[in-house]
Amino acid sequence: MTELLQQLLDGLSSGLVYGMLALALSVVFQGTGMLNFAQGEMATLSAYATLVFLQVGLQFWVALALAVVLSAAGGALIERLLVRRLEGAGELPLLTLSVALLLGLNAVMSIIWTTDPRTFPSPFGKGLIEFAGLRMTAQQFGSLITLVAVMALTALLFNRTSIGLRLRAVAQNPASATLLGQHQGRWLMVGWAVAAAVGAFAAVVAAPVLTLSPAMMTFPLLLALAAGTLGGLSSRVGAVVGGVLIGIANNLASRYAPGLDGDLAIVAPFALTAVVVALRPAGLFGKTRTVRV
Amino acid sequence: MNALLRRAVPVGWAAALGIGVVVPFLVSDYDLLDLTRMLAVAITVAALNLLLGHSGQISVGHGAIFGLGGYAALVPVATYGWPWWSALVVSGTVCLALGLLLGTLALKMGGANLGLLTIAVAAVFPLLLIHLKPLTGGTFGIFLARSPIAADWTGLTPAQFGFLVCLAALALTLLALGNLVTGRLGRALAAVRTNVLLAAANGVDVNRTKVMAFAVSSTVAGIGGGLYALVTAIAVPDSYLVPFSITLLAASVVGGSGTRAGALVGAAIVIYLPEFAENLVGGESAGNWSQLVYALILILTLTLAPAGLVGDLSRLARRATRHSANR
Repeated sequence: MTELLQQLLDGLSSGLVYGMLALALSVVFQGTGMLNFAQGEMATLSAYATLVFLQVGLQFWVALALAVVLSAAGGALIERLLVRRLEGAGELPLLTLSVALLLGLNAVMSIIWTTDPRTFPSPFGKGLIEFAGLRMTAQQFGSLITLVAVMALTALLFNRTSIGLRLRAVAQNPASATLLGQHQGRWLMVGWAVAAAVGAFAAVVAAPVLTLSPAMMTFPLLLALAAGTLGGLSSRVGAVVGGVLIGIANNLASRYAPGLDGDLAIVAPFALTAVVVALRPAGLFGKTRTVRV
Repeated sequence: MNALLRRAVPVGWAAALGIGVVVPFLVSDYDLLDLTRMLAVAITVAALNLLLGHSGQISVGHGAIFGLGGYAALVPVATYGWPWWSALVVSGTVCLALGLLLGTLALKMGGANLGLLTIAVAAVFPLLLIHLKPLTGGTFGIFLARSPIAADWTGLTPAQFGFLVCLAALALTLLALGNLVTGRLGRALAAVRTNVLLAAANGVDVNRTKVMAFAVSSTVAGIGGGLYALVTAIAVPDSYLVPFSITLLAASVVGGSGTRAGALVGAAIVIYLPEFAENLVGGESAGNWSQLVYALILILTLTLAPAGLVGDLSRLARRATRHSANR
């Protein structure tokens, strides 16, 4: 029983990383209607930026804050320069653009930092926390707290501030929002900035465990995409819950399912997602859009 | 399309075919292998064009289908000593099955979720190859001493014969797919792509049309992959990673997914860009540089020439000839 609980706990802590990425995906998806396959590489780039600041000699939290601000600026820039040109071109060109960004950012990181994995320092030390027979490393515990805190902040931003109100208005009904004087492009840009910042946290928190390399976020991103689909990309809560479910499914499969050890455990979360989508095409928390003809 | 261009296009294709038949006797066997690989990739890009350009469905996983075709062709040849052409039938059949499966799942998901489904397939495929070691040879893959596509009685070298086989296969593919998209299925696809409800109201079986497009595309892509693996005589999991799938998608979009010649242009970029980068920067980072250039070309195409190089160039040509005809 303790063993199972331990697995669930481990699944939860990796699941929160997927949930965080899925949250970033969901913010972009709601605003631009684009599934951003490059979200993972954008996050990895943020982690590299943090590492550069650390090497310069900055303190960890200062480096992280700087990297988050830079990531937000980068996200806004991508929206302004590339995504806006393809707005209204439909789903396929936008999806292709995100794939191109994935390929390009990955190449840039490989050229600058090579593909060799690097160790990333953990801000939480090497300690071990034990409670009722369950174990957690200080890194796991610290990242759990960080991620929950960032998620809470994002929720506050969206639900309790006027920025969030505008963001939601533009996402839900662009035409009415424009009529009410909200510049659609500007708020989509802000949405991209928020998503990039959220993704930066996910990468920095995951980097000490996964070791930093340009391909670090490839599988987490796939799992986050599955999480978003499972929970419903049209709902921010759904994305996070989906992430946790996916993390747990992944962990349980790699521990208990015969033949699915190691990387191949990724099959289990996708199977779970496929089943959920077959039953509820919009995901657990997603809203089905009805079109009137 | 105006009369001048309408006459020029078949002449151009006939000329290209003529050049293709002569090329193997002018080029060294070493350079010829690159051209042969290009033809095999072009078959797959043409298959992806059917899906992307005509049916309006996306696939970020055609690299995996290409790889599945390759393995399905090499396993029977390497393990059971089957002749190469029967191995191609295996490729086509296996990929047809996968295409039917993916196409049916795609109906449930559609749009952006289809991108997710196919990229998941692309990511899991190399892992599966490594896992199924007894069948696939694990990380080291399968390789043959020489390409099984050879006919010594003709007096041609294996490289020459392989090129001609791939040329014939590509010509057949372009002809067949071309007829398909101008025929009944093509009109159904165009209707579905434009407006699903409109198509249904006009008696088009939407689901059947979409699944058929996926199945045909997958089958043809698998045969392309089978030919590629047979002429190069090797299949390893590392050749079929996610970036390769994205590269194929890039080839389709950059060449012009709604055009026939686009497949050749796209395939040429896939094969020759890495070699060009190798010559220019050399060493390990060459792959990364060519990856970066793919991404830049893809982004530029998306923003500046949404119909692809061939698509937008022929539009320009049409405009130019119409202009001179009017004068």
